[in-house]
Amino acid sequence: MGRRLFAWEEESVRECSFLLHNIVLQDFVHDTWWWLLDPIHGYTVRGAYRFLTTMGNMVDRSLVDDVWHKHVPLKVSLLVWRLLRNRIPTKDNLALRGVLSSTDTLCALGCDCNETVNHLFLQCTLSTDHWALVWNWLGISFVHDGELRQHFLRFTKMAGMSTYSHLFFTII
Amino acid sequence: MFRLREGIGEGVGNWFEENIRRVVRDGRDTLFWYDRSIGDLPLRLKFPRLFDLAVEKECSVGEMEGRGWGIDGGA
Repeated sequence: MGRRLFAWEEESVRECSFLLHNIVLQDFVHDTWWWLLDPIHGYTVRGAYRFLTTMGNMVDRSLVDDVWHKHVPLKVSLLVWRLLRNRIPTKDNLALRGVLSSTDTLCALGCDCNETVNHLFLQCTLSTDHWALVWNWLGISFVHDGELRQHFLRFTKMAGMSTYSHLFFTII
Repeated sequence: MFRLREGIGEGVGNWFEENIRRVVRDGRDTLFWYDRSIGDLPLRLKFPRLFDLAVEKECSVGEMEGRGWGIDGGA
């Protein structure tokens, strides 16, 4: 050490020494981990899952239960989950991340709109045509919502989850 | 392992890091500055200035103890 410590550094040293002075090491016993959420059983995936899902403020519960419904095939759940959080590599998202140039965001189907999830899955002619077929097949009429979350909420309230899953198959 | 020690976490804050501590026994497998063992914070965050001054930043608790905690020379 090239120089004496400054007074405020000495202060830290004292504080630190104070913390350390009670520590007695035990030879031949290994250090271990201590999981605060469950000191007795230690870390479990179940415990961590419970902790994370009861934190509450992460996501809207009703959406979670509907999207991750056991009757819905996994790939459908994944797609819907990503849709609702806008995590699909649509052109607007790709441009946002610098994958595409910011001028290259028009819908791949040749309409003059930006390719956003809402556009691609709800507003674009291709998707409105698909939805029309779906309504027809279900034998119902449905006023189209331009926004995915609203659309999802209204649709799942109306239909059972099993029909919902078929629906997205037609789009994929 | 080292990502954990660097304090990188995801999700609900650093939920994993916040809830895990090192229990020091022989001190050979716990990093003095990086691991959360004494108190709630790793010592490098609790005493950032001392950490800056420390010559050897990756020594174990056991090594530090062996040097009489190195308060004068080890730092």
